[in-house]
Order: sequence, then C-alpha cells, then structure tokens
Amino acid sequence: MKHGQLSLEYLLVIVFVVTLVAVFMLNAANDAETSIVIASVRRACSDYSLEVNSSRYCTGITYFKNSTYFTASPRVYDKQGNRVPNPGAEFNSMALRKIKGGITGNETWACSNCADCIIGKYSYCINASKG
Amino acid sequence: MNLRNKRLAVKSLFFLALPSAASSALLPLIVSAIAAAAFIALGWLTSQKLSEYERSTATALCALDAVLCAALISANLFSSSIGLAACLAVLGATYAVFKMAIAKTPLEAKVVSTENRFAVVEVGDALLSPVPSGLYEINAHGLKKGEVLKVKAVKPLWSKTRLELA
Repeated sequence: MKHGQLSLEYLLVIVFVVTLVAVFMLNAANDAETSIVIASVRRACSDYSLEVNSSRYCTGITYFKNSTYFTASPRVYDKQGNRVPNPGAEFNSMALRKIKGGITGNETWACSNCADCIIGKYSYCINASKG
Repeated sequence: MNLRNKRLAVKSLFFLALPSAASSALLPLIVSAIAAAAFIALGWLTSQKLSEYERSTATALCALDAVLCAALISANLFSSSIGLAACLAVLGATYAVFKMAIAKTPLEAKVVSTENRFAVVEVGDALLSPVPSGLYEINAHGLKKGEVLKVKAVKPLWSKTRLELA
C-alpha cells in the first residue's frame, strides 16, 4: 500500500460504517414491525372468532405498505366457506387495537379510519376485501 | 458570523441531516425526508458564503450527505435481501468515489518562505481539509514568496502527513 489514510478519511470511514449499521438496523426493525402486525391481525382473528362471532374465521393474511400506509388484509370467511369482504367495524377496530398493542404494548385505543390510525411512521388500515 | 463559525454551521447542518433521516424508524418517512432535505439545503445555502474552493467542497459533501440520507430513509422501504444488497452497493460505490475525490482535491497554500529545494507554505482553514491549518514544509524549488499553490496531502504508512505539489 503506497499511501495510508488521512485523518479526514478515517472520519469518512466512521460515518459510512455508522450509516451501514443504521441501514441494517432500520431494515431489521422494519421487518420486525411487519411480523408484529401480521401476528397481531392473526390474534385479532382468533379473538374475534372466540369472543364476538364464532361463525367467522380467517385464513391467510396479506399486507401492502408504502411510505405512508400499512394495509393488512385478512381473508375472512363464514362457516359456509364464503368470503366476507367486509367483516365490519368491530372486527377492524379489534385488529387495529391488537396492532397498537403489538407495537406499543397498549391496546386501549380504537380508530375509525386509516388516517386516524397513525402509530409511529405508518397509518394502519385493515382491508379484508383485498388480498 | 465569521468564517470559522460558518464552516462549523455547514458541518453541523450536514451532520444533523443524518439523524433526521435515521428518525424514519419512528416518524413518517415524508417528515424525516423533509427534515433531512431541509438540513442539507440549509447547509448548502450557508456554504455559499464561503470561498469558491470551499463552495465546491460543500457541494461534494452535500451530494454525499444526500446519498447517505437516501440510504437511511430507503432502508424502511425494502424488505428483500436484494434491496439491502443494492443499497449497500450504492453506499460502497459512493465511499469509493468520495475517497478518490478527497485524494485528488488539491488544497490552496501560500508560500511563506523559500530555502534551496524546500519551501514553507501556509495552509488555511477549510471546510474539508485533510490537514489542520498551519505551516508545512514542501519539497519544491523555484517558488516565490507570497505565491499561492495547489498542494495535496500524502500520508505514507507509519509517518506523518506531508504536503506535495499537486
């Protein structure tokens, strides 16, 4: 190696390493948040079947997110196997409470529409007709 | 505001853009992006009151800051390993380009005294300087006292940083 590092370059290396670590951590935190939301919706589905309407159950849960909205889409069915595209406000509210509980540890919260359901960086929505 | 404070303000504003971008973990992405862009823009505007040499350095720093902030904000958007790998590749390429730019960016130095094959030059404070301001001896002859030169910093392994004619 002909030349060593200038002190300025050490500073640059430190900034880049810190940024790389931050990128990994943000990426991992983002994936963890996605897992928490899916698990929370799954829990809401189970609780809804047990506590509110035993004829409803969920199969798969898909999600879509962009820079502002995180939409979870559970596939809800009735006992006859028919898809229920709109299980109702109570189901959505329960799912959103579980999501809030999963992320913040506090489930005492409900909201009526996507724009009101802001937790941290996303507005959370439930849309059972998608997915 | 004197030059020293202006340089400090520019560096601080560019630096503050990074935690603003990293705050995208907690805040809506658009808020983090606007905050980071505002800090970068303020830093660049402040740098416009510096010398021409430092203005070009500030523009390079501004571009570097923008790439780092974009990487931090976009880390929230991709969830695939391909996206992460692409982000890391962009960061690596940016580092390589900036390292090359630092190595090739000459400093302005003023000849204070000359003696045979050596000259003592004075390097002033700058926004992005590889050496602290002060007096340095360079190996060059035929220089005149008061002359302004372009020099570059060289750091051989295991020895102090020295200056050479660019």
